[in-house]
Amino acid sequence: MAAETGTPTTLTLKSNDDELFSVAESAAILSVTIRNMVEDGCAGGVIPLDNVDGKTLASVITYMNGISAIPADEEKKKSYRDKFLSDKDFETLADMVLAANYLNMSCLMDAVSAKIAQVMEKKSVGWVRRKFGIENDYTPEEEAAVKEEHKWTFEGVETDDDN
Amino acid sequence: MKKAKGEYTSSDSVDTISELPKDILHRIMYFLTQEEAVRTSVLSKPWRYIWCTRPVLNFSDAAFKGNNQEFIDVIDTNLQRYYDQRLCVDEFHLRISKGYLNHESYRFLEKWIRTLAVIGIKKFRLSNRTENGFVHCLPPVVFEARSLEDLHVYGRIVFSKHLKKLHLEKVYIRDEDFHKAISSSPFAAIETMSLDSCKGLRNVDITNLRNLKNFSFRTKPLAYDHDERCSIEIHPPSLETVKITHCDLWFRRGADFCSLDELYLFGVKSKLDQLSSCKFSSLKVLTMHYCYELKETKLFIDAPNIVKFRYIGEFIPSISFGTTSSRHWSSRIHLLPKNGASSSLWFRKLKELLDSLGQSIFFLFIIDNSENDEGIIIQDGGCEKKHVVVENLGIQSRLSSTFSSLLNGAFSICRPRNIGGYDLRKDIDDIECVQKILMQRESGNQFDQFSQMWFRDLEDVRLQIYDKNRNEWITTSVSELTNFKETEYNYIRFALKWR
Repeated sequence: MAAETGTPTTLTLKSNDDELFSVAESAAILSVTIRNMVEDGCAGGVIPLDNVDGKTLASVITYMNGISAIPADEEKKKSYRDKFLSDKDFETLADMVLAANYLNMSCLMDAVSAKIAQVMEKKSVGWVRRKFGIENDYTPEEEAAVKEEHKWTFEGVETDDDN
Repeated sequence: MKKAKGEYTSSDSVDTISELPKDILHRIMYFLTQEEAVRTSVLSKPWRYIWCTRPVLNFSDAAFKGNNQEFIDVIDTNLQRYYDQRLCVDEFHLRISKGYLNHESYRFLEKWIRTLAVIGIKKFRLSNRTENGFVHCLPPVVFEARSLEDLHVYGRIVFSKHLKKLHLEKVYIRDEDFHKAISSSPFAAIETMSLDSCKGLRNVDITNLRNLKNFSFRTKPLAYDHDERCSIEIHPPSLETVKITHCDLWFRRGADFCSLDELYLFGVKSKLDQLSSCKFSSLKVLTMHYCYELKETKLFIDAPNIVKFRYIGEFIPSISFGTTSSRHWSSRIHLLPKNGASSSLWFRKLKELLDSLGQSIFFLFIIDNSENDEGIIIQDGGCEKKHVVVENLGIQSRLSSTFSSLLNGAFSICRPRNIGGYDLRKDIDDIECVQKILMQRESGNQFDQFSQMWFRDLEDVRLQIYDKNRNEWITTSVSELTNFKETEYNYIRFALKWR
């Protein structure tokens, strides 16, 4: 999935599985990591991004192009982000948050983190464990002790329904 | 990626979330309430302590399951833990809606803010949404938190009764919150207020602060013309110093600033013509730098006790002082003509300014950065019979030909006692220019008709360098200058003696 060219400067990004993507510099510099490389003059050839696979990078570039096409209007940007993330499953979100972290893109990082947090919000511990496949390695006694430590946060929320 | 095992999870489920780095988990937890973040400790052993170090603390009494005292204890213990373990807290949010923070617990708020200030808090959010509840106090110690970049206060907040000084820097505060705060009675006592690079403010009306003595407001210049500037209205007769940078400023017509000692305006864009109707009976120092609206205004300043007037701008302003006392006062005028605007007309306008500033001692600087030399011809138009005496004239130019035109222009209206203000380390080109032009007099080389006229009046030229230790100018010569290059003797002038 290559970004449209036609803009004066185009960068070529390479994923860790050797896929090449071209993207307008103006969109790519949303990533502070890429911006620094451009400013240091390392962007002449291909920019290798060793921690991002092709599938994730394609998604990130879609986001870069989409968000940079919106003028300075925080409301519109927010609704674009919501729409962009709405159909992503958790595995994809996890890959994207790692990519956003590596690429130093705070707006994407925050949007994905908030999206993941949203899944955890107002849910019981059991529900969150099942949703994310977290193995409970506490003994029942240990678990009770941890709960007792922060009693005030558990009262009235220990319902295990899948809402 | 490891496959999750164990009886609680289905076999195809993969625990990706637990594998995320701690920083990312902290970021995710940033969007959770304190309770939800704490609850993650029960998920599994790897999750046990992750929430403990997230760089945000977020407390709300609305969802809290305990009583008032327990609420305070939870906040207190958590903060103490961050403090003891030297953990960082970027943000602290406290939401009160059930009145869990009252007069008795006020001292805790003060303590927490002190702790947060030490930890290096960047963002502090306090909201009080109690209806008809008590009014709690925002301890002034919050303004001592140097790391604070964003202060957001919502609701019924009262500042300490003893607040005399308020300094807000890089604080986000909305007009409503600001005005709510300053219209509360303890603010009546405030004497010094400075708002530095604050965001959110659009209109600042401080006319009600009757004890305010010192007010300063500073922001960066706006990037675009259509960005909204902050508009400020001042009036209190108690004001002693006012310093305003980059905003709109409004004076009430006919206002009497009877205590105002210093008025500093930098990049103020509003029309300043109301100044002409105001009284400044004690004003000693007036500074007007880069105030572009002055261009269209004829200003009269009623300041009989003025000591210093300072101006920097691209154009020559039209300004006069209603000074009655015959004491000496000084004017420092820096002109940076944008298109190398120096012409006979330009100098005539400058002469008008100097004349209207009457008895002042002048320090005049003309800095011409233009690249093109249009070779202005200066004529001594006959009307300049009486040359203004200027204590110091400084001229800087990129081109030596422009330099000599400017010098000729200046000599057509004034007789400087000194030409200088040059730094030996930086302005060597300018120093050489002056040197060359003044030396023509001695060499008898050919020069234009106008120069001949002022050469006749010039009796003596001395090159002087400033001695910092003795605090005086000492006479030197060009050949000796190189000896001073590496010393702290850096300032050069040419002392002129006129017939």
